[in-house]
Amino acid sequence: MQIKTRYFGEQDIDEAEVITFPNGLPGFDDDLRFVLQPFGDVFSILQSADHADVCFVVTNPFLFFKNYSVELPDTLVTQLGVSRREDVAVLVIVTVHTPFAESTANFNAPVVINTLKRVGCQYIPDRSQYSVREPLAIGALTGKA
Amino acid sequence: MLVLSRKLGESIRIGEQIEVKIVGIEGDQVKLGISAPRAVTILRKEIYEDIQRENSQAAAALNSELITAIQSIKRNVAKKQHDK
Repeated sequence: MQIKTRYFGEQDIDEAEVITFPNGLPGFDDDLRFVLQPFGDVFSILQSADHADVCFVVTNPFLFFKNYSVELPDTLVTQLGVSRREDVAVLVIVTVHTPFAESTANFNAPVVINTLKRVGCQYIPDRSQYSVREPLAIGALTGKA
Repeated sequence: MLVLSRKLGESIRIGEQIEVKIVGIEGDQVKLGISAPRAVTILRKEIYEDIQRENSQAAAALNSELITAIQSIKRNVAKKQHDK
């Protein structure tokens, strides 16, 4: 299928690559289909298949917090049809600031994906030790801190 | 908006499967007990709105300088350990 992306132009995507977000993402209720594309070594782009201008820089939270954890409630496990822990991918959405070193990421409400069934959602926990705007320790990651 | 009066211990039903019960009233705070199917997500509204706002900001377009900056960042665990 043909999709329009914000940063990679028009692309021909294999339907099997599409990740369905049955409820969209908060603030983007109409975007139910996304694709995940690498954006450098550390980041990826979560691109809406429906609107080119809806896309997010995402990253692996475990690169930034070694002990990061998120406890998925049964409701979510059921919603995503998860049967095995290893099928679950967790990503956090980055809010990019200028300069990039001042960027934050939403470690509070991660994007959780069942990579087997290719279904995802943004999980908003009732309580979390992490902030919606957690500074991204990019210096620590690159060794330039 | 439908407005209903309820007393402590009383409930309302929303559709077939959702029940909201007043389980406590203390000053200006009302404690609600909610029974709903597992597939229904229940959230404090202000938390949801905060995530909505953050997502909107996160979806803002990046300029070419930022794109270059982001793409040039490398995972470098070995160097990180060396520096410490």
